[in-house]
Amino acid sequence: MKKSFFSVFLISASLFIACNQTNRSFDNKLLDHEIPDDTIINIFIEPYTQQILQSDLNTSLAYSPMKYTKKDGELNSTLSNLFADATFEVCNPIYNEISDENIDIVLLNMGGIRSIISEGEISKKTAFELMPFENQILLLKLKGDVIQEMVEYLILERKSHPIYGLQINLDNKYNLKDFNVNGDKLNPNKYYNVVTTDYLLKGGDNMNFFAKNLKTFDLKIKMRDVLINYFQNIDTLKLKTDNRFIKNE
Amino acid sequence: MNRRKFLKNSIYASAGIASSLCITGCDYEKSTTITILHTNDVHSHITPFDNNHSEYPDQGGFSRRSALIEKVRKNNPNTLLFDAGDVFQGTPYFNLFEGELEFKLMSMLKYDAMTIGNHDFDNGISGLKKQIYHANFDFICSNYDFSNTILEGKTFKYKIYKKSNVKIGVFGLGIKLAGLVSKNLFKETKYLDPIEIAQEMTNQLKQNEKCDLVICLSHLGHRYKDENKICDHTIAKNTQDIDLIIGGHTHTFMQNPEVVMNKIGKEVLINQVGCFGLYLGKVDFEFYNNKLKSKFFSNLSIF
Repeated sequence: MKKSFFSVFLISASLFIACNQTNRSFDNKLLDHEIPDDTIINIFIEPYTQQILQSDLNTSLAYSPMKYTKKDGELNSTLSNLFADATFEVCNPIYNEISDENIDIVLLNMGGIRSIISEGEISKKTAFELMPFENQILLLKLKGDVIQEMVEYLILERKSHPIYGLQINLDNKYNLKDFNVNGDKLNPNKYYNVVTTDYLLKGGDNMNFFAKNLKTFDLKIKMRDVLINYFQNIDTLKLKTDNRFIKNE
Repeated sequence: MNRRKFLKNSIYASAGIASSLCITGCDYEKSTTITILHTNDVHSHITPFDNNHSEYPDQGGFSRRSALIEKVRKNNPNTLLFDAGDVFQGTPYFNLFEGELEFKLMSMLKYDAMTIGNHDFDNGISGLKKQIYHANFDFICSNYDFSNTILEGKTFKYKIYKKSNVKIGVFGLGIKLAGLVSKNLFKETKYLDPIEIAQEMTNQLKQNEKCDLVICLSHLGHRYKDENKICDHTIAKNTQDIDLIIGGHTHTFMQNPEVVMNKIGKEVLINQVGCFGLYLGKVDFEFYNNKLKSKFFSNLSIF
């Protein structure tokens, strides 16, 4: 059994404060111990781990040359852009099979990105950790005025929610300067093809505008499988932040 | 200094020395330390992160946490172990075994109680009920009303633990589910106002049950940009008689607990240890004659 290295860090500033006759103290000793793992716990976990290993979770799908996170940009990040772009690339051909139109917009939620991508091999396990939920991908027909509402939501949120198809410019006080849908001005009366998940359609993250859709199509693929499919078709993962949602100084 | 003032001062001084000697002398044997250990948002991280993980290589996991907890318990048998929710969801262990392993391991580590986080509803209330069967610890939820659901009777509104001669009252606050969890998962679970419930619970635990220590297990989140959103701060400031809020949800890594004044000017500690079982929160409360005398914090990292 592996002997694990324990660094027990007893915390911060040494203070002693008398307040309401109760003393409060912080300790900052740094103790280094070598404590073995709990063998009983390891033995208990082992058969479960074996079952997981028997699946193809650790098979390498792609390679990441660096660490990517959902927090490496303010209004768009490498991982939020990956989620949105992979969804378009994988799901547009699926939609093309049932329609001669294309996907106009993808909107997912930042909170749905549950992990980072480390430098090194990307496996199915990476996809499970990024997207542990069983969320299904849906295509919704949303009218232009609802897209306007979506943009207003994004401006209030100030988060790097994964978006594709929208380009939004804010001024330095986070007010809307302008936005476009794939380069065109929004047509308030047109119906747009918007892709999201069943979780968000049901009001997740208070994206309540999705409920105002004219029609819903189930694209019959899980968000996690979108990622797996995307990773299978690339060699090296190169991600960057861009100007899809930015604040202009 | 005139003679009279000098005499008066020295009488005070010697009285002070005498009484402090007496306090130290008399109270020494009656001192009890209660150690509170806690985790939050472990999110199914059963084993340590992989060695090549860019942020937490080879960190966390139940095995080392178990060893660390046992070490603390050996030092002080008057130890309680809590979790502030979101035990479920995050690794294939949850996708494959649906939370069974998490609850079995928490039972083996002798957790005393947990409160329910939003992700613990990820397989619905039926998925949660199925796994509660594997849990040998208490579920404490004060502001979720499960009375019209299959979870009725499976949770406690509050619970009192006795360690040595000290009574520790614990209640639990959950986050608003609408907008976070799909309705088809939480079904008829009712979310009740956390501030009102916290007041009701502290009144019950402090005034009626005469607890020496009151702890709130909270999955409300530490603090938000939106000042109107209810968080641990709101609870601490607007209530009285809470000694410690053990937080979760926002994955906030705190080196030291935060000290907030409650509505009658007494201090409340808020502690949260990030996520994924990377740290173990530790707060010691020292009592003399059942009166709280000192608090000591040391959040432990699990490397």
